[in-house]
Amino acid sequence: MARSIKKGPFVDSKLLKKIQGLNEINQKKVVKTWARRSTITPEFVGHTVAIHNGNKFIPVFINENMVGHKLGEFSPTRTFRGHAGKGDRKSRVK
Amino acid sequence: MKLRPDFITIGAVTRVHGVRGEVIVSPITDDVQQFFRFQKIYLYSSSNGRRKTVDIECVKRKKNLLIIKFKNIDDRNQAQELKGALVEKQFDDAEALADDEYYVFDLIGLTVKTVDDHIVGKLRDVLSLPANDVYVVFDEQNREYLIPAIKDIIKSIDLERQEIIIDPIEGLL
Repeated sequence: MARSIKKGPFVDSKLLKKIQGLNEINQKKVVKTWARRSTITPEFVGHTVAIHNGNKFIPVFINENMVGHKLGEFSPTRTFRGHAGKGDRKSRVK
Repeated sequence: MKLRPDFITIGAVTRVHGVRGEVIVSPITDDVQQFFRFQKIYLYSSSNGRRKTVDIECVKRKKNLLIIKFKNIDDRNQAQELKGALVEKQFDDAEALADDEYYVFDLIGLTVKTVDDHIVGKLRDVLSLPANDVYVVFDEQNREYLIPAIKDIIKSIDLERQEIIIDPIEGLL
């Protein structure tokens, strides 16, 4: 069942406070968080958030397309390591 | 600069399929569609170290796997001999990369430095994640650093000099 619209999106208040603080002083800093359930709001755009995946903090750069999604969606808790280093895998600097 | 291999592995023959000489190939590539473009392909057997060229007759997709029929391999016994072989393409057949795109095998082993020439460590792995790729870097004390592959942080990647220059923001290292 979807979350009630009346409540609005859930955003971790401590995380939002940190991000708003960084926006006020116009500073970029990696913000560590365990709040995987927190929704990404437009304030987060342009910041790098290190999201805990149960083992380590995965640094994720937030862009406009991620607004409305949950932070946890971008920090997978399971990693497929079957073909590491093999094949023609490519990496793009975004 | 590291020597580039002549051949790149893009799959592995896992088992035979049916009685008409078809094999099931497990792709090891980001671009599975490339199998449909090739006329011929290379099969490398790690048991005897031999590489041979085979012509592709037909390719079908089955979920995450591919069913490939090679020319002149028409029965199950012939196909059985291919089991375990690696499917390769020639490096020259590879498509040109975009400016900000790199092969993972080129990146592994590069030295990561900051803009003020401080060595962070060596790149050991690249994690392909939904938002951005993440470079896994280990220093001499075996401490792990995760560096997001974004333009704000990765200033340059120099394959000739075997180094990646980063401009880390506060809290990254």
